[in-house]
Amino acid sequence: MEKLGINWGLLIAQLFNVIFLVWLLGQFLYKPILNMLGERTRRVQDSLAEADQVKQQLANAKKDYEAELAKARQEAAGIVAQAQDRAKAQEAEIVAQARRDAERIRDEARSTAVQERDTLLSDAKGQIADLVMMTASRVLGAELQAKGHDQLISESLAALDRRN
Amino acid sequence: MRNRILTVLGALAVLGIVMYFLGFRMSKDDLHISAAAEPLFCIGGALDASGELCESGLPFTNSVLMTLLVDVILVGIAFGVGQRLQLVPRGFQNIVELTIEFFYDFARGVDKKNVGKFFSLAATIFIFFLVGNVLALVPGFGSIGTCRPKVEAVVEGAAPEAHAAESTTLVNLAAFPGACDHKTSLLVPYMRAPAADLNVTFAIAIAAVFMVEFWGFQALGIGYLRKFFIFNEGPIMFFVGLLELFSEIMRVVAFAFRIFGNIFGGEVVLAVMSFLFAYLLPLPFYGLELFVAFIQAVIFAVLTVVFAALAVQGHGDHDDHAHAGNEAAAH
Repeated sequence: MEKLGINWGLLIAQLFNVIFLVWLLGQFLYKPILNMLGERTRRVQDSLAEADQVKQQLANAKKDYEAELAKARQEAAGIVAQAQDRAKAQEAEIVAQARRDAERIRDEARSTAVQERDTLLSDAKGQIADLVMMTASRVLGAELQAKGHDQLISESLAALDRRN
Repeated sequence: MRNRILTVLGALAVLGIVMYFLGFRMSKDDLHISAAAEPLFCIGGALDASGELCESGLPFTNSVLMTLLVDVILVGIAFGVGQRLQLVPRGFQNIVELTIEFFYDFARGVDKKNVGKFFSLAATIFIFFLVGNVLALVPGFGSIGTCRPKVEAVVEGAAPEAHAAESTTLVNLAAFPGACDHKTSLLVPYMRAPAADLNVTFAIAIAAVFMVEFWGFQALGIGYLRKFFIFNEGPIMFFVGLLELFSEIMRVVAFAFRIFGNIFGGEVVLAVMSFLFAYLLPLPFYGLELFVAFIQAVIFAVLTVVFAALAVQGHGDHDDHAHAGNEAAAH
């Protein structure tokens, strides 16, 4: 025992040292480090899961966006087509209206012209008859006094009227 | 690269040979090996005549000093790293975490359920011996110490003549400042590997085995004793049980002497190699001792975990029988 250096006092002191170290390291080194390792593992797992989730969300968002875009495109095309249809219809209507107006204006113009010509003609007929009477009476005057002349005048007027 | 290494080694060998013949070498007197840790001073007492033992009082040995140094380092790590952990580890925290996680993963592989119970003790054993053993290999630990005059009575009668015959080298190392002349005095190193002191290894072995038995009783109650006192399975099994009990007790000795033998033996090997030829020759042995320092710490701690796991599991090979017996008793 002497040669090997075993000393009961030292042995017991070393035993206390071991107990002290085990307690202290367990409390202040292993526990916090193992907690930290666990915490780190948890965090890494969490962030990996989160990254997956975000990727999924991004894919979904892209899909949604594309669907929305396609829908919008379709809608725009629909609107344009509708507008074109409406414009065509309007055009046709306008043209028809214009045609109708033109017709009406032409008719009106025609009837007015006819009417004016009639009045002009009847005015002219009266004036011509008066003019003819006056000229004839002035030329013939005193020479012609018989009844037969009146009849001749009305016959020539009738003939004039017919020629018209 | 290879050539350069060979060149450097060759130059060192030549330099070593020159230094050796100049007298920069150990003499037989310098080769002082003590299996016991030497006291630096004695608490409440005095050294005896040989200067190697305490006549009275509690010896404060060099391995005690080294134990305190390791304690300080471990406590420093506990408060410097353990209390200032960062989620993103950097620098030294990585090393501490690596060491602890390495051992924790191993212990969890042995016994997943009870790892929390065993871990503190086993990891402390591992880290304590690892730090102590590796630190003891640092040059200066074990070679710097106090010089204590040798008492003539201890030296054998023929010795003085041998001393006179030996001092024929060009350089007398004993004349160097701060050198210890081993012919007339004794060098007591300030530091000694804790594992090279049986007090330390026995204390830890006792603690480990005691805790193993404690956990065994805690897990199995008085039924733990059934492992050692097997009455209902014939005389052979009874004898086997007694052998188990004996081996359980001998574990203390096995634990204590395994690491003591390896570490102390390593120190002796290094000392002898340095004595034979102090240049280059100890180099491969340093590598070996570094490996031994690590592996012995691992073995001590791993065996503690394994024994604890076995004790908690209970009846070993007799598991089925024991369960059958328990059930029969219950019915």
